[in-house]
Amino acid sequence: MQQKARALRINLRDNVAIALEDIPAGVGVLIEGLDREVVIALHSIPFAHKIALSSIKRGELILKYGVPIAFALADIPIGEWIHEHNAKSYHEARRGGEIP
Amino acid sequence: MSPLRGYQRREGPPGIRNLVACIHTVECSSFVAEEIAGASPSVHTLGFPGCYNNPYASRIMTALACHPNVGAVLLVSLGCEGTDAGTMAETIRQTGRPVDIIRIQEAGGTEQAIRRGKKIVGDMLAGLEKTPRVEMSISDLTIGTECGGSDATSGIAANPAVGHAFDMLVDAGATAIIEETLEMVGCAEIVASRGASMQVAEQLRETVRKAEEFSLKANQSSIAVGNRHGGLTTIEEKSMGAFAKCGTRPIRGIIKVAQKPPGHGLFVLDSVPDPSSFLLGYSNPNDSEGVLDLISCGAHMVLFTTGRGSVIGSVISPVLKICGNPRTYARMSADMDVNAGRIVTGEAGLVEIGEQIFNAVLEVAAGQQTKSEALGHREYCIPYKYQDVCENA
Repeated sequence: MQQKARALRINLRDNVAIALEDIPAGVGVLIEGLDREVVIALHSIPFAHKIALSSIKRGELILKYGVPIAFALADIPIGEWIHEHNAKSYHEARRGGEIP
Repeated sequence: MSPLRGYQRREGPPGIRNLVACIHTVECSSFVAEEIAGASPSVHTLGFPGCYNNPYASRIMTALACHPNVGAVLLVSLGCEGTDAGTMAETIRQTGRPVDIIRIQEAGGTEQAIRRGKKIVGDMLAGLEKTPRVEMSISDLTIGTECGGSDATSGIAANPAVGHAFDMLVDAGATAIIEETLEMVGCAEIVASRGASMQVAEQLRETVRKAEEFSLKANQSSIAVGNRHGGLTTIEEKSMGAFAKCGTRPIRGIIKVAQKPPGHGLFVLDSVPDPSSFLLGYSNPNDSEGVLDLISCGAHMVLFTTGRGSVIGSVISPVLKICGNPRTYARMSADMDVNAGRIVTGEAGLVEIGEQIFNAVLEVAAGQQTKSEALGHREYCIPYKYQDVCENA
């Protein structure tokens, strides 16, 4: 039985979980706050960084604390690491005039 | 859980502590005030260092003197500073609290002032022993929250757990206050959507806009490189990590420093300076200043979250510390009241730690000392500040 890493989903609406340890790529991740759900990490995910719990299309919202904290810059598959390379701030995009 | 028994005050909610406040109205009288207070755990020294009159400082000192946890007040003045101790004493007297003033110049200097002060405080302490105890419910409590020494665990463990405790407190009828409007800059629309009415939502937008303008002028904060390494992708995410402390209930209104929330439920405290001809430093120069702002609005207790580790307490109200980082907790457990690091290690869930915080609030309200309180922490900080207030109370 392969040992699983752990991540925490803070709000039931969230489509991301937060790594509770450094997670290597290819490892099964047990999502705390969700019964027995396991997601395979597609990329190494450092402690406190985000892992996608569902597939998120380009332009869709990334939800943490049950609220949008970013939008996807590309299609993001389940288990992918989410950070600046594939997600962006609405606040900054609006300030920069990129979106209304 | 036995019913809470508070200290009855002539007006306002009961206190959970029964203290003498020994207040120096200028730095020049701080030594004398400290000597008068001595080592008594029931006499708390605080004050304002400035010599020039600052209405904000007078307001916050008066509010702290009239706090539910304070039963009697000694003002220690040098005699020539801008703060008017006489006017302050008159306001305090109207709340039914015993109040006295020592003016060091009139008293004849250090030794005479200390001797007279010790006699007055001794009499006040004897009087406080006769304070009637009254039954108190959760709805009589006002609880504040603040964070300091945050790290990557704060937004995962300690802050959401406090948010859960805040929901429980609000549902039980308590009054709850969150500060840090500067932290809300990245989530202004989410904060506004929590307003209990369209009017409150608009006031929240305006308050966060003011905080953002002030921070740009004072060159204060935004998302830092360290935050990004810690996994925070956007300013919204960082902001929400701090805002998570206040839970999920509607925000009933906005108050300023030294103002009492006009009802039960959740309130936002705006402690950011209003535009004035002076730009008086930073909005909240340190954690102790922020904690004292919450206490000046009547907070019986402050829930303080940390990750890297903070040791502060406060004058007047107990500070309950919640540590989200398990390694920090292991290193500094004698300073921490609740180990929210158990969320990170998988030993407990957010809900369980939230309930533990809620129970700790009731125990501290019933008289149990927090770690910082037992260690004797009595931090305070009152800076020069300018805030507009419409006197509606």
